[in-house]
Order: sequence, then structure tokens, then C-alpha cells
Amino acid sequence: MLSRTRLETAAAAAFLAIVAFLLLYSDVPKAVDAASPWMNTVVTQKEVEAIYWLENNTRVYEPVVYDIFGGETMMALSLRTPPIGGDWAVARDAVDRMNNVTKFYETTSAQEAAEIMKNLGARYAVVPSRQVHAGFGWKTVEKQKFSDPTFFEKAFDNGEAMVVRVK
Amino acid sequence: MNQKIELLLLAAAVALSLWTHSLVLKEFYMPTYGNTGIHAAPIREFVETGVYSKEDHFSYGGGIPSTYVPFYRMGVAAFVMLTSVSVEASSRLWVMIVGALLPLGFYLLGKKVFGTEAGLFAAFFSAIPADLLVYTVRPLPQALAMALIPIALYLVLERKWLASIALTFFAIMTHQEAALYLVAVQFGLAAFVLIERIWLFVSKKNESQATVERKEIAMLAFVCWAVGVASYFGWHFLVTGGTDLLSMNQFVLHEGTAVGFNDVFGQLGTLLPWLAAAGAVVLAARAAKGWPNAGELLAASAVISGIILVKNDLIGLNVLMQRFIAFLDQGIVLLAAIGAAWILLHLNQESLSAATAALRKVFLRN
Repeated sequence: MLSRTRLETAAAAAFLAIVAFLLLYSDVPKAVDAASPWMNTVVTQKEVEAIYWLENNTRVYEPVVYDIFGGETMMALSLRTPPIGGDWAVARDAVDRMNNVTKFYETTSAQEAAEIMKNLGARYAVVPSRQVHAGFGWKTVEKQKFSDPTFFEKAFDNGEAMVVRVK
Repeated sequence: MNQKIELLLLAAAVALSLWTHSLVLKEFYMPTYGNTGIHAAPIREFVETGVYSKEDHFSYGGGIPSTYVPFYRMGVAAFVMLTSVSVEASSRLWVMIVGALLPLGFYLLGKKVFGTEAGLFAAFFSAIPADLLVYTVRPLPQALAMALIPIALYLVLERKWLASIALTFFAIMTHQEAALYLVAVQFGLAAFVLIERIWLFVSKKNESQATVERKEIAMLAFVCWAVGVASYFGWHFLVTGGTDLLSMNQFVLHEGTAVGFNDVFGQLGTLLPWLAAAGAVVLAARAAKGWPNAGELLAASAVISGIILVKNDLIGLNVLMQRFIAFLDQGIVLLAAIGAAWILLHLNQESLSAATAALRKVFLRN
């Protein structure tokens, strides 16, 4: 068997060098940059404190109103049940629920929000400071309504995440 | 290739993959995009109650059948129960295991299909596609299933009947979309060989060792496909009492976005499109000379199946098209590995002289 000539070796080395360079300095860093935003927890550490409060003050599987990201984190950490979030493949009324939770966070009416909570069978709701996603994009939470003592009382507040109870 | 060098290079590919997958460790909590929590919840429930419930107690108010296939959840739960590591930490640790498995699986498959160089290229190239990373870097059943696919396909090519059927079943019970891609690739391979069998029959040609080998591999691929399909329908029936998959909300409401050329090529980086094109030319040239071997047919099936699933809106399904880009990526990685290996192996005096002469002709003429 003939040994490879210097030219062949140089050509192979050049090819491998180009591949290695593009792999390590271009393509893999681009993949990492593209994947990085997906590492966002969305839910904050302060919200996790609220979730642990729920774990200590409510029963397992108790319905708690929350958005999709918060609800899924809550179910993972404390086995409480959000009205939205999770496997929607066979959920009976997924779209209605998404509509209701969106309305719950967006409405300025304390009465409407309280009614939605009761219809969802929930005593508690988590009110984060961030925007919420209940299936129809990111929405700003209308927090003022939760200060209405006729309909809500604050059960937990760490300055960033609140847990409110409906009256 | 020297075995030590081969192992060193493989170790480097694994290290690269572990580095990219270490993204999952960077925040205070695991990523929540991709509904990671909906798997962590039943995992915790299984750990705390000892029961794997067929009813989902958490999604959309709870009380619905738990349609997700169970092995990922059961596996992580078992790990938690055995090690006492938390559910959240275990979930992230399993991503690191996936990070190691992915290049190893591609190495085995690439090496089987086209030799050692292709195996090593495939191991490194598995770190390139952005979608492949996005779906293997999060604590999801899909991550584990995607790492198992190359290994399952390798076992089919090796004609390890029990192992390939078992791993196919395991992959199907780990993630639905991965299941669909895996059985599609297996079916495609069997279909290619069936065409060959028909041609052999019609043309009254004799069997050769190569045709017998392809037949045996195709039979196994077909059996894996059948086991996969039966397993998934069996699971769905067990949980919902029916087999009407198309009544699920994803199909009814057509959850998914149409995929364009840029959506696929935009996340492949610079190397893969060119090398995959080279790989496609190599396979086409081999097909022009005679029937490609089973590995080459499998590589073709891996790409074609991925394309069909990514463009499933064109065949009337119209569901989760963009989710299948990561699976198409697996076929493209294999094809690119073939292209790169071929180029490397053909960088000899003869080819270089021929290439130089051709370039001289083109430029001097102009």
C-alpha cells in the first residue's frame, strides 16, 4: 500500500482544519446562541417562594389560578393544579380556560376576576410581577383589582409575587 | 485509523456535546419553555405516591387521560427514588446524560453506515443544528428519545433483533413525535428494499450476499415499525379507551407553524448544508451504480422521512411541522457525515490532480 503523499496529507489537514474552525468558531456557538433564550425560567425565584407558600398552606391537587409557565412550575414543585398549562391534547375546554385565565389577569374589574376564580374552582391565585402567558401571548397583569377588599385578600406577598384569596 | 486517536476524537465530540448541553445548568431552575413542568409533576407524583397515574391530575384542571407515553417520567422517577436527588436536579442531570448519548449514538450509526470517519464526523456534527440542541437541552422526553433514535437505527443495521425491537419499543414509549420519526425511517428503509425485491423478482435476477443482507435488515426494520405502531396505539387505547389519535386537540386545532426553506437551513450553520449536499451526491452516485447498501438507504430514509414530517401540512396533517425540524436535523447530520467522510477519503493525489486540472480549464478558458 502506498503511503499518502505530502500533498494528500496537506489537503486532508486543510479540510479538517476548515471543518474544525467552522464547527468550533461559527456553527456550534451559533447553536448555543440560538438555544440560550430557551433556558429562561420565566418564573422568578420570588414566585417559587409563593409556590412553596401554597405547598404549605393548601392541599395536594388544589386548583390555583396561574399562567402557563407559573402553573407548570407550580405543578412540578408542589402538585397543585393550575387551570391551564400542561398536556392539552385531550383537555375538554382548553381554549375556554385560556380565555378565562387571560381575562382574569387582564381585567380591571375585581368582581369579574373573582367570578372567574370561583368558576375555575380556585380559592387562590398567584399574581406575579412579570407579564403572564395564558395561551394568547404575553399580557400585563392588572394588579390594582386585587387590592379590592370586597373580593380579594392578600394571603402572601414578598414584594414581587402575591398569592391572593378570593372572598 | 489508530484506535487511540479514534477514541480521543470521540471523547472530544462527547466533551463538546456536554459543553453545549451544560446550558441547562446555568439558571436557578430548569428551563420552563417546552412544558418541562408537565413531566416533572407526574414524576414527583409517582415519587411521592408510588403510583403512576393513568389520569393527569394537573393539566388544564386535571381529570383528563394522561396521554403522554410514560417511560421518561417513570425513568426519572425511578432515578429520584434510587438516588434521592430532587426531581428538578434529576431532570437536568438526565439532559447531561442525553448530551453524552447523542454523539455516541451518531458515532455508532455513522460508522456503521459509512465507516469510522463518518462516525466521528457525525458525532461532532450532532452539536451543530440549533433545533437539535434546543430539543435535547431541555428536560423533556423528546431529548431522551432523540438520543435513542440513532442507537435504535444502528441496532437495526446490525441485525440485533431483540435489542432493536426492545429499543424501538422503549423509544416509542418515551416520546410520541420521536416515535413517529423513528418508525417512519424504519418503514422507509423497508420500503426501499421492497422496491429492490420487486425489481429482483421482475428481472429474474439472482440473490447476492448484499441483497440477502438488505432483505434481512428490511425485515427487521419492518418488524420494528410494526411493534412501534402497535405499541403507541396500544398505549393510547389503554389510557383513553380509543385509538382515534386525530381527535387530539393538536390535530383538531392544527397546532403548528408551516416550515419554509430558511427555517431548516437557517439553523444548520455553515458546514452542514454543503456537506449534506456532498453526501446526497455521494448517495445518488452510488445509487446510479447499483443498489446502495442498507446503511445508505437508511440515511436516505432518515432525510426523506424528516422532510415529509416537516412538510406534513402538504399531506393533510398540518400539525407540529416546526417540531420535526430537529428530527430532519438527525438525517442531515448523517448525510453531512457521509459527505465529509467521502471528501476526506478522496483527498488523494489522483483527485487533487483531477480537481486542479478542472479548475485550470475553467479559469484559463475564461
